[in-house]
Amino acid sequence: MKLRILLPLFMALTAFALPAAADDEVLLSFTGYDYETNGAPNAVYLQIGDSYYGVGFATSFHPVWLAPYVDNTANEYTFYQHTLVVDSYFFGGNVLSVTFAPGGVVDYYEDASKDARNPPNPPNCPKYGSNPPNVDAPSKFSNGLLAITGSLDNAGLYYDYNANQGGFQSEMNITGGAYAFYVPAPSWNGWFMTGLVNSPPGGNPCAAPTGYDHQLSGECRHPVVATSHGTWGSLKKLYR
Amino acid sequence: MKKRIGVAGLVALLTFATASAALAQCGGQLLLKFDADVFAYESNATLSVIEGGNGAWKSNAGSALTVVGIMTLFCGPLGDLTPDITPPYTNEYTFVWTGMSAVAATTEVPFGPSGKKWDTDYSAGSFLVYEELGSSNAPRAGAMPAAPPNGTVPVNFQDGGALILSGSLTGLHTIVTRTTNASTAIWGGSFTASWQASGGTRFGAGPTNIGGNVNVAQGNWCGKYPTGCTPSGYTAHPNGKFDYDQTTVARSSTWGAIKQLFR
Repeated sequence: MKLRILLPLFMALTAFALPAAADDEVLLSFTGYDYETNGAPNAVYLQIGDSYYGVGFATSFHPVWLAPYVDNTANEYTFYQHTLVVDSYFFGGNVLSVTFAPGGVVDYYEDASKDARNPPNPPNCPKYGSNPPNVDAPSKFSNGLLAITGSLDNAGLYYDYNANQGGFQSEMNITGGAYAFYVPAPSWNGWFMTGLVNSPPGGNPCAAPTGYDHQLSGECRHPVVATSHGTWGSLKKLYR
Repeated sequence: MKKRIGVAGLVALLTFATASAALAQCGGQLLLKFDADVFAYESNATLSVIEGGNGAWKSNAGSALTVVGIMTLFCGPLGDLTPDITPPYTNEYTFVWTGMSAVAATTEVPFGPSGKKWDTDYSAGSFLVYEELGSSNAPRAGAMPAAPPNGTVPVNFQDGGALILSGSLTGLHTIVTRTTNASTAIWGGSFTASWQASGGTRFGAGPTNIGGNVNVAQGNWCGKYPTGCTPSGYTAHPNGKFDYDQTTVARSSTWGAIKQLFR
């Protein structure tokens, strides 16, 4: 318990003293699949009122802020993107463009049960299941330790049916989670983007799960904000 | 007497049984994953009108595209390869996309109420993946040297070790979007392409090699300039993956041809 408090404190101090680069950097990267649920009976993809979701696995982590604390052997690292409701819809030129109401959420989990990964892989395949939501998804992608959670605002999605590809983009601001303290507070606000494409046919040994709309590959980018040197005293004040 | 030889099933079974254990992040059709440390640059690109303090690069027709990057994850038949993901990065797996050029100038069209959407198609090119064990010298995000090509880029992404996989990249299509014309605009982007291996030490038949199937590459194509995605001199910051279907394509053959393989 003490370690859980001291380690983030140490990390916060370290981050407090380190000079920072000017670039935005990838906080987390991930792959997975997305799906929708209809808010009302309709056959239109992402009509107003429909909800949009994503589930999958984190594939890499910020090399300084997060990667040193990640153990891919002992755990799986999953994400669940949810509470995104379409509030505007436009379709023209064979391009879909929608926006989502504020209040979306993305959660990243560390889970020692590895029930989403479903090892050994192969011969097993990840537990996406079919036609989500189902008994596997999102539940097996949203259990374990909530490592980082963030809000998704100003979110939008496009899909170009001419090019058969699209993207999801949003502001992503960290709001909590056990690993949040590893990320310097000035870098909690960033953005989130995902490339989307229809799943190709085939897939051996693991075919794309049925009932999902797209496979996705994305990243959460957060700025490395310049920091100033602080003192123990000023840091202690933060905790009083 | 011609017979359709069902070698495919046997090879698939062998692959199934002996492929190395994939890492926790693997799953589905994922073969290669590249994340934070991937950058694109072009020989002839111009900046769009800066709106709200940011713009995006637009290719002129014929502009040569080069992408350099560092792999973060291998899955499936290549699951035994383990890139270092934390400093000091003792082992690195780098790659280069080369030989592609913009088929036509980037199109720029309205997107949403006041945003923009940029589309670019590229001619066929090739990809090369290198393994460098025991050392690393490729620059990473936050430290990309300006104005490529230069003394480091792309040289340090294609040196030091074995060429483990190479092949063709075709049909690369990139999209960059911004939601509005304000500084608060949210940027999006994507790319898709097809890839087919044809060389390298991990190309060929066998459970830990890559065959010649045509597969999909897909991911982000972040083009925001000047803050965020694109360091000075770079036109995009991709992030994505190569998918892979291990199914071996069955081909018609003859018993005579098969016998020849064993003589």
